[in-house]
Amino acid sequence: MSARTARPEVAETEIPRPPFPWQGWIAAVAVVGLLWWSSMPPPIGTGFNLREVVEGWPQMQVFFQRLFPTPDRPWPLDYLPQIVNRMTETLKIATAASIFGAVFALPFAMLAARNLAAGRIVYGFGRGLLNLIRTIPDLVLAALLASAFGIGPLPGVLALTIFTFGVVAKLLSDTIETVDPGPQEAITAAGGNRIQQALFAVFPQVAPDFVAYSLYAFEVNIRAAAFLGYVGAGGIGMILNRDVKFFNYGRVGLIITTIFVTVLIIDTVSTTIRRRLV
Amino acid sequence: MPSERPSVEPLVVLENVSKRYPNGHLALDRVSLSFRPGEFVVIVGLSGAGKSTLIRCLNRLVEPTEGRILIAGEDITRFGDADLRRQRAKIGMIFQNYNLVRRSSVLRNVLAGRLAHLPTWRTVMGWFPKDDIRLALRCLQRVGIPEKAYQRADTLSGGQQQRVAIARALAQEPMILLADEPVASLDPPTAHQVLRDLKLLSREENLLTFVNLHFVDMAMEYADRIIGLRAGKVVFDGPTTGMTESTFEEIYNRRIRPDDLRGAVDDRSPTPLLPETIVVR
Repeated sequence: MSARTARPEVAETEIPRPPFPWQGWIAAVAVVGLLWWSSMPPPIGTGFNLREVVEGWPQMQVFFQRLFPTPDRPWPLDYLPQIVNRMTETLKIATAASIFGAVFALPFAMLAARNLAAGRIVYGFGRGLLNLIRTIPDLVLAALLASAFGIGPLPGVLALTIFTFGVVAKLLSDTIETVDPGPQEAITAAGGNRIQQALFAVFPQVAPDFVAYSLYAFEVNIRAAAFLGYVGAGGIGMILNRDVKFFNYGRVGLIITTIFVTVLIIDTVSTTIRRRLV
Repeated sequence: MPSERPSVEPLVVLENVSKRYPNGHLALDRVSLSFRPGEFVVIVGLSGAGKSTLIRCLNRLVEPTEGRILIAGEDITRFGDADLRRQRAKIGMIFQNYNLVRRSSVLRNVLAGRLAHLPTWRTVMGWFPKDDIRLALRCLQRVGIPEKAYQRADTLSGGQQQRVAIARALAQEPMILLADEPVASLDPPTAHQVLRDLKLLSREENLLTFVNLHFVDMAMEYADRIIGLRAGKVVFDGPTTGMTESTFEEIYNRRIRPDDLRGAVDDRSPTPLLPETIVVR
């Protein structure tokens, strides 16, 4: 009681009115407005509405149930060797693309890092190219390359190589710009040229990040490679596309399960390695 | 040797060297100095007095904006890239934060001192000549840590890391050694050990050595010659015996205080190494 009366001025102080929370209200109005706009019927919006989802639900259930085996409708296990074959091709595409892309990304990332680039023009060119590359979705690139080089794994490898290059070079050049400049200063003071600075002072500092980014790109590439067959770029996507079209539900289920298990295993292993690195 | 000194040609000559940074700060103001081979020079002054700038102008890690710097008779301010790298190869440098590549082995860090002596492609492949590896190991031996050669640099203590940095500078087989606050990150006993090593190496190799130091008593203990900088100007240049209380006040713009002293090997003892001309109040 006495402690409270010792500070009477607190009770008398008026709490000033807080400012109106404009940002929150503007964001809320914008989100609701955009939702309303996109759910309008075509050609203005998509015509998306929840009722359609609810009404279509039973049909979706039937579809997904058909993917999985029952005693009278077992999975066509004799088809498995062909699936494994195609999945292996997908893995080969992803692996080759990840390695090629990462190997090219390493020197390029040095050109596109402010603290190693030889002048502003080189730096600007490097950054510009990296930004440009990442604007092209990998599926679009694969489709374009498939029409240029013909159906098969080659356009898939090329598309994912370019994707890996773009992602790894961009992430790595950002990391290079944050390294401790001390070792580079020491190599410069000892008369080392730019290549020697990059190799002896900068690369050892970013090597674990480089491996981590390459593994990350590999994880993304596996998933992308599984799909590339849809645009004619080889791998398991080719047979998935075909079996979906012919309503071979059992085969589709088996293919999807194979992809799921493979991606899960690779992601787990790769993520574990990446954690250890950083 | 001392009788020969006056006849020895100066190795480094600064003529009216100024450095104005892009933000307008004048870090060096028409500095003219000359140095003979083998001198152990300690540069003292407040933070921002231009100590680091002066040392970094000597290998052009900082570009002077005016004046000439002659090393062995050649004006290094006119050098292009290739000549500059060749010149830098002859100047070893050690830093406050050691500037080692922490994830690389000690030996690889020392071998970095050989980079400018080798063709780039060879260093890219990591093919160092046997002689260079032997030289690097010898340098590690001289700083007393030959057994650490294959350890990662970041497994070493601060004092050991600074020794690796000294070995890297020695591996250049330099004629000049620059040390920018080499002991500022070390505890007093280790700091004295490092300075003793530097002094010994300077003597044995006849290395012209420049050391930036914050602490007056350390400067007094090790220097052959002290350069006092204040606001980019040389306000004192002479042997330690010439340092008096008034020259100290000229450098630091105030009387000497116990904070300006780092103490001898036993941190707690009063500093017996100071000459009597400086009185601690």
